[in-house]
Amino acid sequence: MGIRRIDPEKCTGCNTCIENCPMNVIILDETKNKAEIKYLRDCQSCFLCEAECPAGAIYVSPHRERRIPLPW
Amino acid sequence: MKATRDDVVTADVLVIGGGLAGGFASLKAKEEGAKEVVLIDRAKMGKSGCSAFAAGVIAVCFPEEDNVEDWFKLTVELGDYLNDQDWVIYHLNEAHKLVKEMETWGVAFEKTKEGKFERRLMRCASDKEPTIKQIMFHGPQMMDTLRKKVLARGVKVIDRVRITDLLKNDSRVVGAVGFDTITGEFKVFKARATVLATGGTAYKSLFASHKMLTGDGHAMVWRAGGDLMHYERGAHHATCAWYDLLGMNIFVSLGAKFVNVLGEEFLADYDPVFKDHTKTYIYAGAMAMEHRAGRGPIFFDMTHFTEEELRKLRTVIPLSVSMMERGGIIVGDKFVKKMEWVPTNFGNIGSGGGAKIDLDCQSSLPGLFAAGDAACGIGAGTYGFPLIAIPFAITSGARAGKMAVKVASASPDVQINREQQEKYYSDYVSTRGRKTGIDPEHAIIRIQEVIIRPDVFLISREEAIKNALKEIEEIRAEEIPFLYSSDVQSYNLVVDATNMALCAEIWIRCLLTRKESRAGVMREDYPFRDNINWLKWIVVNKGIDDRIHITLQDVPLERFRLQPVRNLTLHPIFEAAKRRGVQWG
Repeated sequence: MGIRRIDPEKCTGCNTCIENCPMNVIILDETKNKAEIKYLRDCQSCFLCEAECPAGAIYVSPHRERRIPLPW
Repeated sequence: MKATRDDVVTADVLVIGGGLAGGFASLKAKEEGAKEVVLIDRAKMGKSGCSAFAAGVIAVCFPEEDNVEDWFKLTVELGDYLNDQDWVIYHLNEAHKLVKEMETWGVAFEKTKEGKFERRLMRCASDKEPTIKQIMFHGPQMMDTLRKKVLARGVKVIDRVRITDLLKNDSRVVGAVGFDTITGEFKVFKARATVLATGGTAYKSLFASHKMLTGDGHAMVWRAGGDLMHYERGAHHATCAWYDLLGMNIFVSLGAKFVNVLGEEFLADYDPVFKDHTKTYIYAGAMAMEHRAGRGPIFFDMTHFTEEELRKLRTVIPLSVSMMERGGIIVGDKFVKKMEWVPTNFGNIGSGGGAKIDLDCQSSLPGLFAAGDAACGIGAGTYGFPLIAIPFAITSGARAGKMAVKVASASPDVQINREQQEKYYSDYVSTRGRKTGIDPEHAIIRIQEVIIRPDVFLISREEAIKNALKEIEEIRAEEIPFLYSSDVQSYNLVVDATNMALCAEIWIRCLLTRKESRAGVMREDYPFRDNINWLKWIVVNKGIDDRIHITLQDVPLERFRLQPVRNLTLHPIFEAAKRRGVQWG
């Protein structure tokens, strides 16, 4: 399920998560100055956004976001 | 979208890709005196590709304390004698120097109380080779440090630009084109020498954190008329069926066990010597055989780990530990559940196909060098000697950077072929402009459904491979030309699907060509490793008819020191399956 939540109360709009996301999943809502999830289906659950967030505002689920075939 | 006809970024050395291989290439190019070194990354250099997610352990030979001859022999034997043995020697003698250099930058490695590298016996190494050991590092910290070093050295780093094609003037590569992944702006780069360090293709498959590795570099080389090699070799891996989880190598090195649904530690039957430390294709093949025999699913068991072992995991792979805590696998200081584990088609990550290179990392295209997974696993032979991918990214990256400077220095100013640049621009505009058609997500899932079948990528048969080829050809003909995108982000998926489909077809055609079973190629219709007829390299390129052309080259064993026995031997997976009572053939 990838990135699930960016807490708007904690997010300071510092851009760290956006700069570090390898898949361009997150954008900055400039009117609110808050990070927002835009392209959830491209999230690869790598945890970089959560690990790098200085405000502890992000929660990532370990479950996969995309449907990927299993071998059986 | 803006055409940048008059806005060309010029470099002495252009490095495409910002993982370990690209980072090292750019650093060494600077050290060798290149004035303008430009590094392009489709995401953020240091946070994309494999390297940032590398799972904590690498195999490095330290000649001052290891038996180098043991390392050399094991590498060639594991590589089934398809290695370029000159590359193996070069690699073993260089990797440790570069690792020590990284330490001087501040890259953290696990150390003993005496300040030495903490080393553990490596997967595929037994008590007979007691110095084949790995060291532990921290993936994200390593890449953050590399990024700082690259920037401090004066490399111009351009993030969020995805390169799509190489520019050529006559036969020589003179740069590349791509697009800004945020703004969609078309980008043009001109270079005296270019290093391709774009990684391999993992087909966006099950393995965690490799979703941006879609064979871009391989596809570029093929479209530019260059040679690819070793593409038949699937880099088998196994991964968690439930979560995006990394760390299998370090889990195994700490004593994790695979068990089938009956609770049997079955790998001891498939590889009596190495057991749970066996090769990745044995893991994958054994899981397929156990599943075939009705003894699936397979579980990975770490419930016996001590608090100290868990502490080590928290230090080396903290992100994976977080995931397991959230998934309820770890509670407090204890693993409380086993996890279901499945084989995955890992494409050619860490082992397998890529640009054919020589000892200087020169590709078959003048002006183009390749390193890391963008290059074929030339030193590894048939098998990515466990954990060799990361050190090979370092040694090949450094080598490519140095040699690119020599070519750049010897070259007069290169000129872009404007006609080709315009063609790439108009192709980009028309492809990106398509607003109706087929969703690229649909094509990606169809490709995955074809290549993840067990009778294609695991224990394969001619008929199944031919069916897969037919389906991939259909996808390439009937879906890829009609993919649409709503914005630049979804255009990335169009490029992903296009390159994945090409790489999948190349892989399947090469798999069909190798009529034997060798390492990760496990064909039940040709179950023997054939050292009489198949000590050959499979080379692929695009003919003038734009089709996939395959040629066979004898491995140049006459110039290598270690010689194989010229015989037929039953592939170990089929031998073991007989012992386990599994039917095949």
